Amino acid sequence: MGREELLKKEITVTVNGETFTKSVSCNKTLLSFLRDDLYLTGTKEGCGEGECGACTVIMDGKPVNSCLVLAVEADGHEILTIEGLSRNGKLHPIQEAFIRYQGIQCGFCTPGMIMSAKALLDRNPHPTEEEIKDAISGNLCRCTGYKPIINAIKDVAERGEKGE
Amino acid sequence: MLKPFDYYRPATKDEAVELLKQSNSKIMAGGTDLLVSMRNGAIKPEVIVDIKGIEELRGISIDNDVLRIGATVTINEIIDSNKIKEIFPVLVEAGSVLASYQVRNRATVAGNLCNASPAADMAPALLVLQAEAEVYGSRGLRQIPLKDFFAGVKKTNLAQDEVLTSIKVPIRLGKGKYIKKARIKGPDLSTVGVACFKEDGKLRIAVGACAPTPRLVELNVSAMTRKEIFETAKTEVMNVISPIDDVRASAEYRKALVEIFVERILEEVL
Repeated sequence: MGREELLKKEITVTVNGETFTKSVSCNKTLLSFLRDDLYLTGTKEGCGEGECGACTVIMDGKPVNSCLVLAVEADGHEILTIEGLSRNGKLHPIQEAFIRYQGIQCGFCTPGMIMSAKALLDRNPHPTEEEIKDAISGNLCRCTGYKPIINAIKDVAERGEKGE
Repeated sequence: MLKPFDYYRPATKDEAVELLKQSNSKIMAGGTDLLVSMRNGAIKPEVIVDIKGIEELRGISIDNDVLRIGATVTINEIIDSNKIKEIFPVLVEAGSVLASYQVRNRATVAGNLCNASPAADMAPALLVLQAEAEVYGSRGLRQIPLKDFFAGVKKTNLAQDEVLTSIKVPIRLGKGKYIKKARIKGPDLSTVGVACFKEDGKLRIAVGACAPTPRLVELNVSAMTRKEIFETAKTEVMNVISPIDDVRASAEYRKALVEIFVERILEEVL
């Protein structure tokens, strides 16, 4: 066995309701595991250092930067990615609102932004504008100027439609 | 791409200490500073010791008038804790301006101290509360007052095989506050961070991001007039800081800001 093989571990992770058992290198991030091993490429790498939020996923109900979580740390945990939001081809209310309010331009920040929004509405179904801004302050967007995103989230909150 | 390393998740602190005897090993808690340093090549550990599996490092508790914050307690756990909101709102203030919500779900209070950035947000707040670090290593258990914990920029007085197991804060009645200056309204390192705690005749002020380590000033103000308190506090604080010019601000700007923040913080706390 080469050194590479010795530095691998078997992990069992539940992603979007489905459980996977895979062998991963210790130095692989959760982000890389989701994208490269599970082909869930919705989650993006923007900075790789926990500053931009493009890699945001929900781990055990909490939004985290997946670039700063090792795949081995996710062993035994539950992950929700952007791919897990739509059900049977039907978009999640947050996704629909982002489209309605034009909170998406290039779309790169969008998966992470929506996961932060979902996590916010799950813990605080009626956030103030300040609370929305604080919740998404770890998600950078270069395109929209944030207003349409804030309005989309406000709209979902007002309709009481946070969905599941 | 992180360089290859081996990863362990010990179940007890003794197992952790044994693993940490390897000089190329590093402790991982939240990983939000560790992984960034590994990615930019600042550190190259070959062994990672994940302490999140050690049961006794978890949780916030109160025993005999001492608040105990376990080593793996995250910043968001502090912010969400009703106990801490009630007893030491200054810790909630400091935690709330640390990085982003996502980072705060992983980053630990202990890690913020052990990473020992001069700008660490939890440090000034814990310094003014006279916190102590409980530390465990191959020579056993010891307590390090936080004011003796920091040795320099990103350096602590921990030995290679020592783990900070919990942070202990004596519970006292008083008024505290933390003010942070950053370049933007959103998440950012502090350009200047000032914490203050007043209990009876004692006043403590701590400043971050203005010296190689967070700096603490402790004053007995029981015999001072309000004017004397303001003047003495400002003089003493300016004496212990030595800010530099860096990407975030000039030394001059930091000095000016510290003076203003000391005034503002005293207006609130006195």
